[in-house]
Amino acid sequence: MKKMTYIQSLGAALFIGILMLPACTDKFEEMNKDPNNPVDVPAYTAFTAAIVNSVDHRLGGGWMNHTYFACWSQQWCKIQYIDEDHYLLRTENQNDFFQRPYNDYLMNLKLVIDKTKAGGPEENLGLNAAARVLRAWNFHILTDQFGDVPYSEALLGLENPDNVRPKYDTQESIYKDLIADLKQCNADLKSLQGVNFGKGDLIYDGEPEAWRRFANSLRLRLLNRAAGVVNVAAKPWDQAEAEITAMLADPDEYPMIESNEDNAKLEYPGELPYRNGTYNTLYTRTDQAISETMVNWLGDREDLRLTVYAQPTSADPTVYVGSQNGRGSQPTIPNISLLGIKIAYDPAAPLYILVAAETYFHKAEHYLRVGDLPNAKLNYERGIEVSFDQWDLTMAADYVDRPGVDWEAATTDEQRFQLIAEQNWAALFTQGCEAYAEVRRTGYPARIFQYELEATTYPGLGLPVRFAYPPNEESYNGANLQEARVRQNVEASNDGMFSTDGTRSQMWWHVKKNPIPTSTDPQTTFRQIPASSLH
Amino acid sequence: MKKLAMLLACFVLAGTQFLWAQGTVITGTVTGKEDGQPIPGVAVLVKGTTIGTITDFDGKYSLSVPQNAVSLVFSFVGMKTVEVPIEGKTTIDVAMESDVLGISEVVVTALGITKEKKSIGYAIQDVSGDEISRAGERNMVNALQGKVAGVFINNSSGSVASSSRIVIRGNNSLTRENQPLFVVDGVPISNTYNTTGGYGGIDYGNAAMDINPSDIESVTVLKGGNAAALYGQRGANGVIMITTKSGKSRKGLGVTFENSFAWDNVLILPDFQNEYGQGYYGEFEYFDGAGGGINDNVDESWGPKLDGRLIPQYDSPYDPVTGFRTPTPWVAHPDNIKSLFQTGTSRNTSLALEGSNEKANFRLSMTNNDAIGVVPNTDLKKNSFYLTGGYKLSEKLQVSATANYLRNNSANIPSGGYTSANILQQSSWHGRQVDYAGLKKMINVIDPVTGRPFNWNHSYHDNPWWTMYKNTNSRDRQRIIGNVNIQYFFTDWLNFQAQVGTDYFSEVRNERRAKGSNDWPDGQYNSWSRIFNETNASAMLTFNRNILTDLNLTATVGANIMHRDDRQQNTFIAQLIIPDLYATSNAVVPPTTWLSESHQEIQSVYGLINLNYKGWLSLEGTLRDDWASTLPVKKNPYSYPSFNAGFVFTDALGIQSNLFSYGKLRGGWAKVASPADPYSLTGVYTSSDPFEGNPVMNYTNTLPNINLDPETTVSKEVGAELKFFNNRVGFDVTLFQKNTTNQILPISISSATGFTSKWINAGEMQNKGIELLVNLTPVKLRKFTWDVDINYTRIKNEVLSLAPDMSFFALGGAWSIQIQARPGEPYGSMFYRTIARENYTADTQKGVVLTNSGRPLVSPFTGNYVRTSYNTVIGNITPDWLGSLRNSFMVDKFNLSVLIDVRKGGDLFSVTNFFGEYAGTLASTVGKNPKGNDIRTPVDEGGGYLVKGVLGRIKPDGTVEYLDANGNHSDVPIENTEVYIEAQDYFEGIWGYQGGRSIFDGSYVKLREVTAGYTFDQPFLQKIGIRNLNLSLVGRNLAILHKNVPNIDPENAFDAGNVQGLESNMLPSVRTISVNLKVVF
Repeated sequence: MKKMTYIQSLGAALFIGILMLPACTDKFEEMNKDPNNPVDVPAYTAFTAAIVNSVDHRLGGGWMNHTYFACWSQQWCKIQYIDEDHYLLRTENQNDFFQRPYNDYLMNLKLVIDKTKAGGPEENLGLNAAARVLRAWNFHILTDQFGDVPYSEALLGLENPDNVRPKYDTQESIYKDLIADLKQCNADLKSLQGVNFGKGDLIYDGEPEAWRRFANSLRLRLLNRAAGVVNVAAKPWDQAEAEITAMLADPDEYPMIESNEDNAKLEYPGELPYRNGTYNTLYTRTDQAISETMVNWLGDREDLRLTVYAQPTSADPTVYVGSQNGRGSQPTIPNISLLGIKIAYDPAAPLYILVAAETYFHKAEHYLRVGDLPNAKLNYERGIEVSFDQWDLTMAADYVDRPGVDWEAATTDEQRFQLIAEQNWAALFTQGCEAYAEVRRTGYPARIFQYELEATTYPGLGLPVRFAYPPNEESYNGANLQEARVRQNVEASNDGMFSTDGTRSQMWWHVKKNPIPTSTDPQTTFRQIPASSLH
Repeated sequence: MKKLAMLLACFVLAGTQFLWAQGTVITGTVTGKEDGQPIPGVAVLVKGTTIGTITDFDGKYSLSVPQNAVSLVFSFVGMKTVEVPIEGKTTIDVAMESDVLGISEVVVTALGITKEKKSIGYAIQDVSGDEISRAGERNMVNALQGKVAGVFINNSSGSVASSSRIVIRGNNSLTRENQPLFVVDGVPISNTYNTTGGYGGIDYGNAAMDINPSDIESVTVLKGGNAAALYGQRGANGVIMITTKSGKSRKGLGVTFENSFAWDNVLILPDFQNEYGQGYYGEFEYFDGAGGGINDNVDESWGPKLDGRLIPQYDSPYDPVTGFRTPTPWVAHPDNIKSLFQTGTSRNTSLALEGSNEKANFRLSMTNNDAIGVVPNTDLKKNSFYLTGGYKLSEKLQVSATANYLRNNSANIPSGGYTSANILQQSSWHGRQVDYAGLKKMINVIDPVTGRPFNWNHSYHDNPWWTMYKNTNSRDRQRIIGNVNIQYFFTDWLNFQAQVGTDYFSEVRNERRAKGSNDWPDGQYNSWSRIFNETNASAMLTFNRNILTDLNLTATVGANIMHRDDRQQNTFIAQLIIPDLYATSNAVVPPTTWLSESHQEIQSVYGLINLNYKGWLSLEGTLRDDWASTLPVKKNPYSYPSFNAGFVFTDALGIQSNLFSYGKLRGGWAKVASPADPYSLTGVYTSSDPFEGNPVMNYTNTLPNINLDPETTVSKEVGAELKFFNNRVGFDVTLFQKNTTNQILPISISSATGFTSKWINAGEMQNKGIELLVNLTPVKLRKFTWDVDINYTRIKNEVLSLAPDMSFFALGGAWSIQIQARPGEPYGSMFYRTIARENYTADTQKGVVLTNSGRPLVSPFTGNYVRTSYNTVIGNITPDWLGSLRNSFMVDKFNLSVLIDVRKGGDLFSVTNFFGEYAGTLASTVGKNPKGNDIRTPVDEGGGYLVKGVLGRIKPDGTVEYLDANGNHSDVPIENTEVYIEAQDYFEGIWGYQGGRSIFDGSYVKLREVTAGYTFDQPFLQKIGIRNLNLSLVGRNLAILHKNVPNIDPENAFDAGNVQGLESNMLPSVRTISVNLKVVF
């Protein structure tokens, strides 16, 4: 039967085919394990990553400080490609400022916190509390830029991979939760009784007491922001003042950053790849300089800090000249002052996360609000002195008596508030994110609200009251974002960055109605501040 | 074309051994029955012997036949074999009848299975090796351009080693590989390429460019899923099957020598203005090039008029006493950018030895290609050593093996994109007075003021000659492609074949940045290396026999294991101690290194059944099961089938007509599945450099997914092949549709989850299209033939869906312009703000533009255009259709062919235009305003730019309000005739406002290829042992006959990646003229 042969052959063929069926797929799982990267690491290594990345992003090489908020708060300014200093945003930056905190350092901190919590696989209460303090610092900066942001449902990708659209929490609830958690951090760190919690801490080398001071000073910052401002009846959070009072009443329970040795900062080795991020940015191109607002403010007070914050002009080394923010054309570089060596041209310069001077100014503001003028003055003057000390300068004895500084010359609370707010703004030099929040909240320095930028992208609107939400969030989490926008009364026009009536679109803690400038800075001459006048 | 094939066949068959015997001499002429034309190359054989000859170019033959000879057999490819009894005749003339075209046309299909073309149920197209090598392209992918329907090829730039992207029937996958699989002699090879991202970088070329064109016998393009079903996932995008030459077709020993010289010249440079030099608002004075003078840091041309006035310049004489430069005349250097280029040259030399006898065949070839780029100090050297051989161990057992060693190295490949390492970044950003030619001799001169290397600018740029000679990017790839094949014939209808093939390469890239460079003041060195190996082992059993008288059954079962290992290593040195030494010993801080490995395997079994009835009906089905190491265990295996059918209705219905010579219908359906990439299933930490000894570990940004399914592409096609008038008019038309579903996407998610993306299966993309091939022979005379070949492809690509609620998927972008996949639109929507128009409306709640038409809106406050309040779709990168037209002429031994190709549609974003206008360097930034004054004259002196449009603004509610020149409300639209703006403010204002202005339609018509050749085969040549000699002149990329984008070639792209449609100061494409000589001994 010839035909059988065909069928037999086919059968044979199929049989061989079956024999060849792969039988060795059991090694597949092993083969698909990433040979290059660990699935788990000790918690402290992720903590280190969170410190390095967040400090650089917030204060150093990330554009947040040098291109946006140090400029918007008129500490610094852009002198080439001035676009962002005209309030023109780059989409990449909008996305980056929102995204990176979450997917980079806040996610790392979350993993650290989960691992090190009581009962966690790497239980370490000190590291746990330190990570929560750093988390609070990062979350408050995030919400100070964007207002409502995802918080309670944030960072849950691993636990709940199906919820890729975390809802937005109110800024108020985020602040209150951070304030409460910082209190708990203080208690947790106290329980360690000074026992070092281990490796990976680039800020305080694992010292719990140092982290306590950072936690409490940071808590004071948040409470002060929540407590409102003088001469404005509306308080963001009524209880905030009482919380501050309680903290200040018990310095043993709530130690704070009181000297520059206690400052939260990141010291850089100064060699690649870890150099001060501002240095890295200005190393190859001179796009930033000191703002004229800052130069003139310091010059008015013959303030020696100008010699650290800026360099004399290269055309005339005996004078300092600022360049005004948001100009329509670029200045001639030799005729203006660049940023100071210690600020921008030293690869090993530290980046400051929270400094002692600020704590004193917050205390001063609190005492002013509660009517305790002697303590307000005491802390105000101490804050200035500490700020000079931060830059290895000694405050001249007569400094506190100079016009524009003299506490006694101020006759109203508003004037006293201006003194504190402006000194805090000057002391926050290099901390653009923080300065921008304080400028919005306090309405000082006055000059920012007096003149419109010459070449602003949004004429007639003054200073942005918020950073614009990122397009990516609009795309990937649109409904929740829209709900948050409506809830915050964010204006639809002008990218939602401005408040045309002085109240809409503003931050929860921004209860003051700041003036919208009606005229542009005349800028007839560049004012020269003689170096010899500073003392 | 046919004539050309005949010529070729003639060369091949001419090698037949002649056995002379005593007897009578028979002469005659062989002609075609249809046209009466002589047919050269016809084999004439004495029946039952090996005695024979072939006809010459005039169809004549002369053969000495033995006394006992009975008859002569005349055979020729494409003709019906004729047997004529001798019967004592001494002259035998034969008229051969053409076989229905296609019947004996044999093509190589998937897995190397050869088939008659007429029995195939899907579209397949061949390009001969001769056509590939004749094009003289260093990158064989380019040589396919305009020659295959349904195929889209884009050469990224005029860099000497640039990559080429090839896509068949449109993009399937949103994010994954869309280029076809390359297979050489049955062995899949890597066509890896680097993607440089939206801001560009160094394009190191695509790996298929290693293949030596002169070793290619033919290239078969398998277009649809059917053709590729047997290659599994990687065949989903089609297959480029390369068959290399073997010695089989040549009896005895043959020698072929080829040599060609080519000259490359820049095809297009931007159109620059020559009226204004460097500076801002008409002011400039050089001191240190970094802001020390007046606007001397500025790298833009908004400065003083180039009227010969005296201004201190970078190249003015330096006075060491005063420390200043003595002013010199301020004049334009119109050809300054042009002076950065030279004529590139390329020399290709190839020598091949080949031969065969009854038992064995071999071919050995050596090719050397040495090219110098149009950018000085850039080069490409390619060397190939190729050996293939086969041996018949017995009637049942055959073995063959191929080894190809390839070396592809460049001492310097130019950087592209938006970086100071790209010399062309300065085509946008420079002063029109800069004398680049003069800077050449200043490379090693130190500037007395800055102490830095001499240059016209010290803020952003290096001397371009410094960049060319000091900031180099080298690449060296050494590669071995080979296979070993055993075939055993159990019987004449059952055979077994096993093959092991491998593609192994090692590659080193070194990127050097010299100490003293503007962006790398301390120097930098990056050394990257890679070892890649993919091995495929397969075994296949094939049954092939008539099971009924007219019914043939072919059945194949087989198995394949694909294993891939990839290892990459990088050493990075951020600062050098002493200049020009690029070594780890010369690092200021410890070098940073990383090492990355990847391993994957796919195991498969497959089967194929084909039934063929009487040669005119063919039905085929395939089934393949894959087990992929990259998928979750429980998702393995996954299987996918395909079916196709071919029906030659002219044969079935017995139509035998010269008018309607051939008609075939075909159709197919196929599914192909493709698994995830390695390591997509679990999350990991990645490390950064330790911070003072502290490890720095970051968690991944991509949320892993342990439930990934394979991505699947279902393709359908129907086609018809029709030939008329004795095959002088032929149509081949295919309608196809491909849908790729379950796409494996790292979808972007709200980063508030802690991750920026998540692996999911979602989304569907569809390609529907038509491919049309038309072959015409309008004239066919004895010594003159005119052939016309037309390829046309229209593809309608549409992103049908993404993940639920997902409005777009971002593919990439640059300068705020995003390239996206958006449901309802073709792949690659360009998304950005644009100029708002009078009928603008927006939904401010949803943040979307609803309408935008009418005249542009101009702001009475700024004098510039008003931009839309939201991003909106302003372009798309996918072309509408592609076409090519080739006219070939043969006049006796002379041939001429002219290829024109066309792309319609497909937008691109041109950074050359974007920043060239910002920086005032382009010709479009000068001119007169409606008042007749120079636009660059200040507004208060009657100059300025009048932005044309209607005065108005966008209200917060997203609607338009007309305004008057004072900014007050107007009930009627008022055309702007009063509000002038400084030219610099206008052009700089475009940036960040109207990126849409730099988006252009990428359509073009190109004179792609002209070849002219002459074959010498005169008797005197043959007497000195030269069988024939061919001399040809080839021009490639000769002219852009039409385009809509100014200043650049619309084909320019960063690299061969998915994100096309972005151009950023790319090296201009080149025009190539080459002279080729081919001698066959």
